[in-house]
Amino acid sequence: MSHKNELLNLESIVVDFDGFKAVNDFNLNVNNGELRCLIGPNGAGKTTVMDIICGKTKSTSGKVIFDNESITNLEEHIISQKGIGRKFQIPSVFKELSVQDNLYVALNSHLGFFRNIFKFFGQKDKEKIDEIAEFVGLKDDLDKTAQYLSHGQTQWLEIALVVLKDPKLILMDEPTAGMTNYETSQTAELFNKLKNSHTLIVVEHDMGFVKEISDIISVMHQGKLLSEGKANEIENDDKVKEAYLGKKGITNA
Amino acid sequence: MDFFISQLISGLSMTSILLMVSLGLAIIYGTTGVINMAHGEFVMIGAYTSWILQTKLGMGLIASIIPIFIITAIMGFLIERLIIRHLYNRLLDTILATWGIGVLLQQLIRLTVGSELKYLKIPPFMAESMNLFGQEVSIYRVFIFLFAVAIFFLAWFIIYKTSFGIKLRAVTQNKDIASCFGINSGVVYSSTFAFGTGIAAVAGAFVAPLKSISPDMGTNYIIDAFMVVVLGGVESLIGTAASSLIIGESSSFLASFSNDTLAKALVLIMIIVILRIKPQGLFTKRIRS
Amino acid sequence: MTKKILKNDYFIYGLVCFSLFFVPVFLDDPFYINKSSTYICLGLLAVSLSLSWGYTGILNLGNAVFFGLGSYCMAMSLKLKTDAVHTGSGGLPDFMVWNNVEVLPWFWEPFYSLTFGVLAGIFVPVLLAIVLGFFIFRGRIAGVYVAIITLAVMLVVYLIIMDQQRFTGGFNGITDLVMLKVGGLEFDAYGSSAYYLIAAVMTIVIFLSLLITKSRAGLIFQAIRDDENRVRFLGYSVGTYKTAAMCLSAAIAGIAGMLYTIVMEFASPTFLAVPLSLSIVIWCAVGGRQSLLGSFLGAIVITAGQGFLSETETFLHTWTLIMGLVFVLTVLFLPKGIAGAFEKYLR
Repeated sequence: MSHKNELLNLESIVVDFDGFKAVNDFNLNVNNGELRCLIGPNGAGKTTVMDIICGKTKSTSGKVIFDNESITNLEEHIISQKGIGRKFQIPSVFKELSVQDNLYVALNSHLGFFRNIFKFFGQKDKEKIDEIAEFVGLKDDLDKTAQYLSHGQTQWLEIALVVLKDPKLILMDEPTAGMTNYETSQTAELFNKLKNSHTLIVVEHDMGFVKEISDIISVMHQGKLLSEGKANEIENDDKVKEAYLGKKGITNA
Repeated sequence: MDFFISQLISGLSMTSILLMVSLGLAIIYGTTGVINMAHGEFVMIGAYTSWILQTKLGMGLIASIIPIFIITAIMGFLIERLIIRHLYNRLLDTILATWGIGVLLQQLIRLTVGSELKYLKIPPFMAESMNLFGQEVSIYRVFIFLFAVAIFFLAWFIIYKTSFGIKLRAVTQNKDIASCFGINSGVVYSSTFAFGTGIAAVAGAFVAPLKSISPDMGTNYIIDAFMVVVLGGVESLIGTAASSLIIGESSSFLASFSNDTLAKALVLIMIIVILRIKPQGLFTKRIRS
Repeated sequence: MTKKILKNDYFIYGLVCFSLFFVPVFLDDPFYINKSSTYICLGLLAVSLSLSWGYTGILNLGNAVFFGLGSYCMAMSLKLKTDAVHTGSGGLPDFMVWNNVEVLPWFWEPFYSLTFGVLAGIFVPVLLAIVLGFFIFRGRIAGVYVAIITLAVMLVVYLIIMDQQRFTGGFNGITDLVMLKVGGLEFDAYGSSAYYLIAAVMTIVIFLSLLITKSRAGLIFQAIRDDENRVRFLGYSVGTYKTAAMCLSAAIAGIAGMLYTIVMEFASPTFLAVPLSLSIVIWCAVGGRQSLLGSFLGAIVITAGQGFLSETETFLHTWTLIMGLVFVLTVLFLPKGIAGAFEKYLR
């Protein structure tokens, strides 16, 4: 793969929490338009890696390069402005605001305070919001206060918030956690729609889901990259079986 | 050299008072995360209880320590059971609720005992001064210092060397998992609250003879105690002791160059700056947020 | 139909502000008119905390500091217009003379101009808010620590004012002020002129604040309150917005402070002390901190109640006791205050 196609590079990332290395000399390369899945046992460091990329946690050492630009240890909102969106493990939406207001906050190319003091909700905004609400299946719930949405709906709302900013790279942390089978398949459909116009990195435990959506899978273990490849390669990798999947492979994990 | 020693001693006196007043708050906040804005009022209650026991019942200061502790600990226990336990899922609101409780306690005292200042005398056998490293020091203050150290070690012992202490530390780290291991977090929280408020009251009893007793004397102590706890770092007894020392010594030191008011302002500024640099306090670890 | 009208904020706010203008029509006694004016000032102070706490989630326990600074600025200007003791008009304020001050301190000089005084009453608090904002929010300090630091800052200002008696009047504050005179108008603290001035300013400030809460910036404030990390990951500089919220809050409090000085006819360190600062929290908690109007009315009802019951000390203490109880109960059972409960009913 040529370097020109690489969107994200993590080089020798180390994250040290008071002596405990949550991430230990980790490397990752993701290409444009890919849907990369990041899997591994609990405590492997997957969420910490996501935190590093989007700036939520500062790395102890190592580099993060996004679109040929170093974004190592920059502030979160700056990284976000550069085109990285993050969906959290625990759905984080604005609970006291309506779905429409939630989306209105996200729908914004002007981020400064003084501009936003003079901006009020208008027709153009309504149209864009209706569009994204349709995309995530929340069109009928625009007036609902976010805290009254079901768990699955809250996840989709958050996905909508992230997608609204049209980021080049979207980080999804366990997007199907707590979802029903139906909701999970809806989410898979959603991801496949997003795939080519955006690059996605998805942390997941649901192997069926992973198989359905991924191009390449990266396996993490104890803070390091254990193995990398397509689904069937990973399934047959002894190291991965030992650390995570067990002897029976992906379909039974 | 003389000046230095006298400063050191006067600073230690302040330290010991701060430590006694803050220890209860530190334990409560560290274990339960509850911000007890009424802590100062418990100090005040201790002072008033001491006054009542001494003037109405003729009890001595030493004899009244245990009754004061028990009476206030029961109050603390009841308050935790009736009010605080509903707020564990919204800890910031404990600032509000406990502030309200503080107001209630203050007003109850005003309406029963009255708002006029009350005075207590230092127990006669401690009213003299003794010679310490060439300085004349009030025996009473030395006693307070020793008592503060004793209470500190008692607390340390309970938390680190007893089975109750292990349960307390487990619940502090992770209440839900501790429950899975059969630890009754409700009991731990109530006992902690009772213990913390009890110590505060004992501190109040000791502080009472030093100045005057008034319904609003608690307000000063709550702010001082908070600064100590927040500066020292949550979940750290050593931190509480260290920050009491830092604040006590610098207050005394600065007061000798200017005056009490300015010294207090400067100490506050110092604390604000330290908190900005190390927001979690001086003695905490970096953890995954 | 009624529900729909009640849901329209602009209408309700308008109704309340409008009806407040009629108070002097029904109240003859200058004492009560003066008291009512003070309650409105305190109501505005509650509005200021509502904006930073209820909407943005910043528990500013030292909010009174902005109020106090505003009141001192107005007091300084009014004092310099008062005939000074011993030295005649244009001379030193009396308390300075008593403290053997020889020359007017440099920071008093600009207050000869009332315009400067008024602008300072807004911008000095705002400046402090900017400094605080950068200090606190850039450092990612949150929750309890913000509360403690803001309280500590207010205490520092209070202690400095108390200590520098020769320049600030210390414990007594700045007293013996002339009536405010602007253009040809005189604003008698015990007359309806001052009341109408205050009611007019209050209306403007409340409506501007309401507009702000309805703008996108206002929505972002609320989003920050709900989940500031998410706001960050949408590209917003949360620290800047929090500082902005605090500045708006400071401006409103400063204005309230200036109006308060006009009707109280003095400025005192109690205007930036712990009891007042914590009272604001109680007003907002009971009235409903997520509603500007709720906080406003909460302040008015509680302080008015206190005012009417200060006949005897026992009444006052009992009222405070009841308020404490109401406060605790509100925190337990009505976390969004009375306004919140009202809003729930409207759904």
